[in-house]
Amino acid sequence: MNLLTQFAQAAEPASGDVFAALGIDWMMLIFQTIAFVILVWLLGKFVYPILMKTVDARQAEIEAGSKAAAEAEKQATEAKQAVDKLMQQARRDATDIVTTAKEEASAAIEAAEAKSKTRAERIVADAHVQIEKDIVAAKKALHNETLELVALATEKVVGKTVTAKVDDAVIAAAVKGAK
Amino acid sequence: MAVRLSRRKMAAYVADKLVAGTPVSEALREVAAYLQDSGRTREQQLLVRDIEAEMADRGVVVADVASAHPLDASITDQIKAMTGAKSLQLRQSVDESLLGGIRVDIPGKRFDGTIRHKLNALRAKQL
Repeated sequence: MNLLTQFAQAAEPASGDVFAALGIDWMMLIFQTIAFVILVWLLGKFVYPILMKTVDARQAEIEAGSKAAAEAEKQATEAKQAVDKLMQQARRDATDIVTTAKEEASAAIEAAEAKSKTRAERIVADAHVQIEKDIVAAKKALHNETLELVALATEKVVGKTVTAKVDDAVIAAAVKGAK
Repeated sequence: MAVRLSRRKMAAYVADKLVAGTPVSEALREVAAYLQDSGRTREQQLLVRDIEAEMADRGVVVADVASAHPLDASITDQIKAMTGAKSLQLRQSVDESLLGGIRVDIPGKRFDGTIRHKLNALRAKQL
C-alpha cells in the first residue's frame, strides 16, 4: 500500500496533467487518428471491395463447385441406379436369351433327330424297294436265262435226235392238232 | 393301150379260167402279155398271190409246205383234210433249221407246227 502511493506520487507530473504524465501527445494522437481514419477509408474504398469481390467470387466458385459436385454425385447416383437397372435388365435378357437358346437348341436337336430318323427310314425303305427290284430283276434274268438254256438245249438235242420217223409223228400230231 | 384292170379282177379272171380247165401255161401267158402291155410287170408276185387266193375261194388250194425232212405221202392227205380243199397243190421245201414239224402257208393263213416255232414261242415268253 505504501509502495503504490509512492508510485502514484512519482507518476503525477509536476504540472498536474495526467496525459502528459502518461507521455500522450494530443496533437500526435489526433494526427494518428485522422491518419488511421483515412487509412480505413482508403482500404474500404479501394482494397476491401477488390478483396471482397475476390472472396465473393471464390465463394461463388466454391458454392458452384459444391453444387456441381452435389449434382454430379446425384447424377452419379442416378447413373449408378440406371446402370444397376440396366444390368438387371441385361441379366434378365441374358437369362431369357440363354433360356431361349437352350430351348431352340433342344428343338433344333429334336428336329434334326426326327429328320435323321425320317431320312434313315426312307433310306431303309428305298433300300428295301431296291432290293425287291433287284430280286425281281434277278428272277426275270434267271427266268429268261432258263428259257434260253432250255431252248438251246432242246434245239441241240432235238436237232440230233429227231429222225424222219419221229418227225412224221410230230407232223401228224401237229396236223391233227390244227384240225 | 389296154384298159387298166384291177389286180383282183385279173386274179378272178385267171382263177376262173384255171378252174374251168384252161391249161396253166396258156392262162399265164395271157396274163403275162397283159402285164407287159400295161407296164405292170412289177405286180406279178402280188398277182400270183391274189390268183392263189381266188383259187382257194374256189376250192383249189396251193400250199407252201416246209419241213425238216421230206414229207410222207400220208401227210399230204392229212394236210388236204386240214385245209378243207377240194384240190390241193403242194410246194414242198425242206429246211433243216425247222428241226421238226411242219409249216403250211395257204392264202390268207399260216399254220406253223414246227419245233423251231415252238422254241421261238418259248423264247418269246422271256420277261
